[in-house]
Amino acid sequence: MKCSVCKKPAIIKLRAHNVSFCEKCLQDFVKRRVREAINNFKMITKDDKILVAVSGGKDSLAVWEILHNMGYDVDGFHIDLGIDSYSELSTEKSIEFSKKLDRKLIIADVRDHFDGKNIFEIAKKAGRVTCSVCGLIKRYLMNSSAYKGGYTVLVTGHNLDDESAALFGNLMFWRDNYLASQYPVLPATDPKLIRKVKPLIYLTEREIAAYNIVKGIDYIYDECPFAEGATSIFMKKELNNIEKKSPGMKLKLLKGFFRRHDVFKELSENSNNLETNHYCSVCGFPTMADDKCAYCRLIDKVKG
Amino acid sequence: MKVYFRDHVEEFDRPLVVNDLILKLNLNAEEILILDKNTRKILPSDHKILIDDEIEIREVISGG
Repeated sequence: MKCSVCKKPAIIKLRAHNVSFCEKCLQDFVKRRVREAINNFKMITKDDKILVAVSGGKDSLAVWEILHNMGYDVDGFHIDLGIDSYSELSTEKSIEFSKKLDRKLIIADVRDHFDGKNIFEIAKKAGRVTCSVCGLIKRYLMNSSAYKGGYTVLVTGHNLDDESAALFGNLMFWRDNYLASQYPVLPATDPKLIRKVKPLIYLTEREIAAYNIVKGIDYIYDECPFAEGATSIFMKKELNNIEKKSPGMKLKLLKGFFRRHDVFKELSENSNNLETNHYCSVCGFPTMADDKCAYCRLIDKVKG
Repeated sequence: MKVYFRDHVEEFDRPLVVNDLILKLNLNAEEILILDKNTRKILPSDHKILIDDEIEIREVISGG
C-alpha cells in the first residue's frame, strides 16, 4: 500500500476519503482538517487566550499539541475525578504532556469542591447517574476556571465520532433544544460564559489515535470505568457499522446537519426562551434557574 | 504470532495479513489500529504478520 500523496509506504487507509497515508502525510492531513474546522467556523484567532480541557486521552492531548504547534496561546485544564487508578493515570499523563509542551496546566480536584468525595460518591449522594453528574461538574469547572483565568476560548477534544453519535441520539429522540445547541462553536452569550469550540470535529477517533501514535504522544487509552455500556459507545458502534458499508457517511451526516443548523435553532427559539437571564445567588455564574445554579444545588445536596 | 487484545493474548500458528486477522476476529476496522507491540508502529492493512511477531490491537472508540 502506497501513500496517496508521496507514494512512500503507507501505514493507514482512510476509506472515508479514499486515501492512504504514510506517517508524515497523515500528520499533514490531521493538521489540515483542524485548520479547516477553525477557518470554517471562525473558531479562534492568534489573539485568543485559549484553555484546552485535558483528560489525558488521545483527543485532548492531540488538540492541545496541534494548536500549540500552530502558534496559538494555549494552556491546559484538567479535572481529577478521584476514580482510583484511572484518575491517577489520566492526571499523570496530563501533567507529563504539559511539561513536554512547556505550557501551564490548571488542575481541579473534585474532592476539593465536594467535601473529599470522588465523582462516584458525589453521584451516589445526589441520587444521580455518575456520567450526568460528571458532565455537570466538568462544564461548570471548565467555564468558571477559564473565566477566572482570563481565558477567551475554551477548547474541547470532541471529534467526528462524538459529534455524529450525539447527533444520531438527538435525532432519534428529536431533542430540539440539544439539536439547536449542538454546533462546533458555542458563543459566549454572557460575559461570564466562555466561548467553546471543537477543532477536531472533522476527524474520526481512528485518525486521531493514529496521529497520537505516529507523534509518540503518550495518552491514556483505558476507558473510564463508568463508560462501560454508555449509550454514546452504542451509538458510535452503530454508526461505524454503517460507515463500514458506506465510507464517509459520518462526515456527510454531520456536515449536512451543520448546513441545516439554523432550522433547528429557529425551531428551538420559537418554543423556548434559551436566554440565561439569571445569575446564581451563590457563585454568581449565569443560570437558567431562578435562584441557585445546578452546580451549587449539587453542592448543597452532597454536603447536606 | 501473539495478538494482544483487551487484556487477552491470542496465539495463531500461521502468518496472517492484517486485513485477514481483522476479518478472522470479526472486528470493525473503523474502530481499531493494529500495532507492532515492540516498535509501536502502525501496521497497514496489507502487512503480513509473521509467526514470531507480537502485535497489539488498539481500540480507538471511547465513551466521550
